[in-house]
Amino acid sequence: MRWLPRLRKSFLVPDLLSDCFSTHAEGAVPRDRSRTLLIWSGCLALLALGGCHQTPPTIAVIPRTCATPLWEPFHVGAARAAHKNGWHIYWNAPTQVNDVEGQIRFLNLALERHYRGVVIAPDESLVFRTPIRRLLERHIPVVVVDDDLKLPPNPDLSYVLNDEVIGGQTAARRVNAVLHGKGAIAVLGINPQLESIVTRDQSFEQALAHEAPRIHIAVRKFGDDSSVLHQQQIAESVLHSDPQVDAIVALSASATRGAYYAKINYGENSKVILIGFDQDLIPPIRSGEIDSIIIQNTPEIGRVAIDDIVACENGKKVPPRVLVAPALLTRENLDAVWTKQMWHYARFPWSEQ
Amino acid sequence: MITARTARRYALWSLFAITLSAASIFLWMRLQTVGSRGPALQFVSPSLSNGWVPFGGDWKSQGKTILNDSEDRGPKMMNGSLKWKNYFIEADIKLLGPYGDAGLIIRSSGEERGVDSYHGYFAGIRNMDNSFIFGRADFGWDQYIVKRIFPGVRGWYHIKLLAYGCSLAASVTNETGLIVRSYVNDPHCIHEGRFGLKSYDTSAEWRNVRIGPSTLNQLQKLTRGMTPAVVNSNLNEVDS
Repeated sequence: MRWLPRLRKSFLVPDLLSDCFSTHAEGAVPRDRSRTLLIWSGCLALLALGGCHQTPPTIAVIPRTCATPLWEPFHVGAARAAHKNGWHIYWNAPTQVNDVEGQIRFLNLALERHYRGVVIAPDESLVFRTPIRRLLERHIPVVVVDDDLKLPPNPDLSYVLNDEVIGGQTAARRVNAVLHGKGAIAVLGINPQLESIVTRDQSFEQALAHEAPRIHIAVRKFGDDSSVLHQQQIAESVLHSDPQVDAIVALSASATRGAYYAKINYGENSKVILIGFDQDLIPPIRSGEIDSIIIQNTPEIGRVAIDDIVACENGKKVPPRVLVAPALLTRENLDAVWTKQMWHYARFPWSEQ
Repeated sequence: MITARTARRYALWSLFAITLSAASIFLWMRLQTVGSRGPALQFVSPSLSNGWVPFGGDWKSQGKTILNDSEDRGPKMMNGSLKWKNYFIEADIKLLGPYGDAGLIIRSSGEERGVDSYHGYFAGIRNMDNSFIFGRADFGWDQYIVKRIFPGVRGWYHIKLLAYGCSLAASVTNETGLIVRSYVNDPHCIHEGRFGLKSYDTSAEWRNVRIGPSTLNQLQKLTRGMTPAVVNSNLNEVDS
């Protein structure tokens, strides 16, 4: 161990570390047994510390479901923002929308795994207030996206929402344009369990009454988002009703899909114009079977949500509510770069997320 | 006071302790690699009590086949060792629903319930667009290859998925012997993991599930005449 003093001199090795490597062979050095034991314990502790590796800060991101054109661009937006900030995300969700219990399980998982923040798109407004309060009690920052839970924002809770008022107004203007100011329409997919859909509907109806008073809503259909088949049955009953409506406005992705399937089943004679919400079915826009869809800017929502959690963790103030404007997707702008990033599955090295 | 004799004794004991530690570490490392290269060549029993672990879905063993009797999105059924490195899995697969996909997983770990919620490679057939798909999941799907299957996805298909080093090859053969192959090199590959069955949006059946160790010779045979597509997983290049 003659090299040790030189090493100490060169690299300023701390005394404890030098003691770990010292032996008593160089001479008769008096040593206390307990001190030796203490030194060896210290060495072991140092080795153990060296073996540990720091868990990277991780945010749980829980959409309503995964692997859909609505939520995958959100995934990319969140993953890019996390990477930019040197954070990681845990991404998972129930395999179907409206699996409230499944989403609550993921929230509990976030608690168990001590994630540093949670971004969630809740399936229902009322049911999620208690689980989210539980996270807030432990001072885990939460950003709620895509629905206003009506829990007041606080330093740990903020909202990043699709601007439903603009969405409703955009749909009303599109209906007015395609029907040239007059006709009868049906509104499907009104879901009273989601505040966002209620706001969407109110905004649409107000804008329609204001901007196109000669277009009247002949049918309003309520129903939750749980089943496309259910929405299809509702749409089929509308298509078979007399007098016929000129257009259907479907307020959710599953209502849009259900109405589209009903239109296909009805046959080629169906001239009913279909205007939907939330990116899910894209090819029928190209073929003209769906006139247009009001799409959410989910990559931007994901980015802002992650930035808010990181800012909150760094002790910075975040805006209590951020509204992100949706866009109208039509056959004309389907392949534009700015719309494509909102529905296209972009590549990302997910092992790095 | 420690005399020179005692010091010599301490030195001998220290040498003995170091030798013992080194031997232990070597033995531990050997034990870690035992069985890590790949499984023995075998047909895997479809009996659900034979080590299969489900993640979602409604899995049943029916004679010689394994059935997932649900149209859930992304259920998986896993088996094998997390330490297996170079091996292949092959099976006959039939889709039972109109719009989904089903196939095989290799080198998987960290599985959870959910769509794409595992780290591993997947190759399968999809009847929505009559295609053969091959890619990697890391709680997000990175699709490497989509190839059209002619005339369309109907009946039984034989899929083989082979991992050797960072090379991955897959093939699908229909009942008439028509074959579609793909071959990739993933520089940041997943090195080890277990195998599994997976479906998406459709019920499906698997039979004759067989696993075995893979060799360079097998890889070359499966990919004869092909050049591997190199996966670009550089975050700075992909994330633009």
